[in-house]
Amino acid sequence: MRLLKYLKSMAKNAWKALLISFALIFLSSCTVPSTYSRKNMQKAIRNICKDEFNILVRVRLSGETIWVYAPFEKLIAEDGQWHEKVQDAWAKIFLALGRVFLSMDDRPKFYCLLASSIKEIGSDAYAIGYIPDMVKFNLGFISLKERDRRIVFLIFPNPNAVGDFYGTHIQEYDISTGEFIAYLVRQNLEKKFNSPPLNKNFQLKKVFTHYWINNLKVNFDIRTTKPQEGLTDPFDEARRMTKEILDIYNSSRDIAEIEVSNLLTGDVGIYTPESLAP
Amino acid sequence: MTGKNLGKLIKLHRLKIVLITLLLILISGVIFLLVIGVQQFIGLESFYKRTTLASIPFQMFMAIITAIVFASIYMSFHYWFMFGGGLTKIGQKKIKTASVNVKWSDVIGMESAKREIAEVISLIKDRTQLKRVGGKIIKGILMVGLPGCGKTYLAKALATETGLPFLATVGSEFMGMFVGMGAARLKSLFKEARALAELHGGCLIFIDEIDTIARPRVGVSGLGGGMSYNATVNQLLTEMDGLRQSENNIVIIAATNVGENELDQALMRAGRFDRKIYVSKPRLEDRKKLFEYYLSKTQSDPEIDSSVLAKRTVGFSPADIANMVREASLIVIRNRRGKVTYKDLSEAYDRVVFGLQSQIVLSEKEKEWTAYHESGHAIIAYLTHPTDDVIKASIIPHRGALGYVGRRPKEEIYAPSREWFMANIKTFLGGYTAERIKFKTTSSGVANDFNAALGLAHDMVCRYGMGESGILGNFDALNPALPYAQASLLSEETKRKIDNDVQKILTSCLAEVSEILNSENELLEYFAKELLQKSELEYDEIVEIFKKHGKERLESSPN
Repeated sequence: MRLLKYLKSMAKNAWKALLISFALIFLSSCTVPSTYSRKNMQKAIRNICKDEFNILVRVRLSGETIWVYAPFEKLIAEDGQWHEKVQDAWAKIFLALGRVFLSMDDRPKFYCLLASSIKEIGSDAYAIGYIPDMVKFNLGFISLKERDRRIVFLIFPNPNAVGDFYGTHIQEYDISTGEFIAYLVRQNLEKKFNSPPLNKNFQLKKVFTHYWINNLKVNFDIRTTKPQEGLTDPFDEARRMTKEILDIYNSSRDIAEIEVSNLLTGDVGIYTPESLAP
Repeated sequence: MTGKNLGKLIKLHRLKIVLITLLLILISGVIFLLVIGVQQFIGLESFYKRTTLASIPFQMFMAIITAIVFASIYMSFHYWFMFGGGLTKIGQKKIKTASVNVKWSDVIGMESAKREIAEVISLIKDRTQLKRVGGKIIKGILMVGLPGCGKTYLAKALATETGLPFLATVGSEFMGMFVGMGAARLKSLFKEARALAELHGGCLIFIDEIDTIARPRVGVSGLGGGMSYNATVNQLLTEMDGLRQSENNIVIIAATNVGENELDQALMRAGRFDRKIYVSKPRLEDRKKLFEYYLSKTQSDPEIDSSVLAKRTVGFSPADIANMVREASLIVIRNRRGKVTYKDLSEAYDRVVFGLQSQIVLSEKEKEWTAYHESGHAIIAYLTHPTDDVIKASIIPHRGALGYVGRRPKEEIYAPSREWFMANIKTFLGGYTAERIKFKTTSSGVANDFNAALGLAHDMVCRYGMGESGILGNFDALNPALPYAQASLLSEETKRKIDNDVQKILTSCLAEVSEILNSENELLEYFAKELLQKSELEYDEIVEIFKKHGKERLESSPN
């Protein structure tokens, strides 16, 4: 009897506490406007890079691609590796991009980080990535290795870059998903056949990928230097890798047909994204 | 307001001022931190804001879970402290009325105590009648009596008969290692009793060995020793008859082995322990009933005469009788028989009275020494003791003694005479004298005998005025252990006289014993040899030996 009364009195207090808790939960569920938008993102990236990392960049938005241009004296060091300054700057720019993309609702699709060597012979280095991948990485959903696998790195000599501090030699454009996938397939095929263990048995002569109106072409010339039983078939590997990348980006809307051709043997296969798997 | 008044005001409310200042500082600090927190939060980018806010429901959920867990623990403890007695309750047992289940008919013997208890039961049961007459409920019953006389048993029967909740505890439960623990436990006990009394219309509290918390309050030493004890006694006084407005039907039954004059007088006054019940050892008729009761609960030989057993067990408490029957049952089980016989009870009697045999192995010389020693006791007791029969003589070690002579009074003795004391002293000195006569020297085996003889002689002189010098008075009154004692009032001359009287009693007894044993040397030799040969002599054998030597048992005097 006494216990019942006691519990009733305690329950009254607990009820009050519960009401307050629910009110707080309700308040916390109210939306918070995003800090960055397409309007201010360019300025924000520029400011973060300048104020926090002391890096001067030019940022331009072209369609669904945000271009970030950073000039350097040298891109490649004496030992043939990326210059330390370039690596450090890219890491910081990635941080700045990550911060902005995280606090933004209407994000663009791709980013293109462009570093140019504006002295000596001049060259351009591109790092093209899918922005949701960067967000996923920042939220810890994908690893650093996976993130790097999903970034396209390109480097070209470009004499126009010499002295171009503001990136006027760059023609920004909107990178399409198909184009990005084409770059990614090529890069990953190259990497696969140029790295151990496949580089012991194969010699990669040429990989060429091209995207044009829902059509992706994957052409390659990969030669077997040391035949071995159970060796990977380059044709199958090209199909498998393409399929894997298409699946990551769920890009059946952008790519309807995939043509895989082995330039060495003349084998050609035309597939839909569904039938691509070997 | 003048500065002086302000100063006084500050002095008066010093603590409040300090506390309020601290509270204000605390509140300001919390507000300051909150403002900073909010500012920092506003400055965060939306992702971090959202992450923070998104984590709030989860944090709140976890907080609620934690709060529920802690609240449950807190409530359990709170309930335990509020209604369960808390720490003070540890060790205190509540016995439900049903589980006590000692019926009034189970209370055998102790008729006078039963009569008084029956009256109390009727008073507790019929409160309305009592109130109508304008009487007040009995608050406390103090049961005084020797151990094993059935005080607890009576209390249990009282609980069953009244059908009220019964809270049983022991005085020592209120002696805690922390100051105030005893008082707190008492408070908790009475709090629970009041709650039960409200629910059930009454409650009985039984405090066994109440002398632990009811002896007179003591002086407090410099380190505060005695404070806790005094607090416990005071709490008991207050709970029993304090300033409470409402009266509950709570009856406190206390039991003690010590005399009521050794308890705090404040407890003894009317309104506290109103009723004192003296539970004495059972008389012949009570013992007979007790034997009948306990034997009826075992498989026993119907030929057993309870009145014979009752006569053999003078001075036995109900617990002793129960123990004796239990021992007899154990002997039956051990011997794989079906029924308790008179022989089993006789064996059980020896176990209860003389204890189990010890494992000491005596040498032949020591056996002989012991045989003569015990023979001395037996002969003197047989020839001189006015009340006691010699029922057994043994040189089998029991309870640390190398031998013993069992004696048993024919009936209860309430006021022993000078002759009784003298006979006892002579009996104790019989062993010493026999050793001296036989071996021309003595042993340390006389230590306990001398102890008892000296104690009795001292009592004769110092308590009963039986000394030769004519000193009168019970010098217990000057016992330094008592609060009113004036030990210094005992003069050196009185002390000397006491010593002289004690020694005179002892020497006169010794002389008489020496004379008897010297003249009965043949009997001593025969008795000792028989004892040496048989190790134990029973009552009939002892009587036979004496008859053979033409000695008759001394006829009983009044006592």
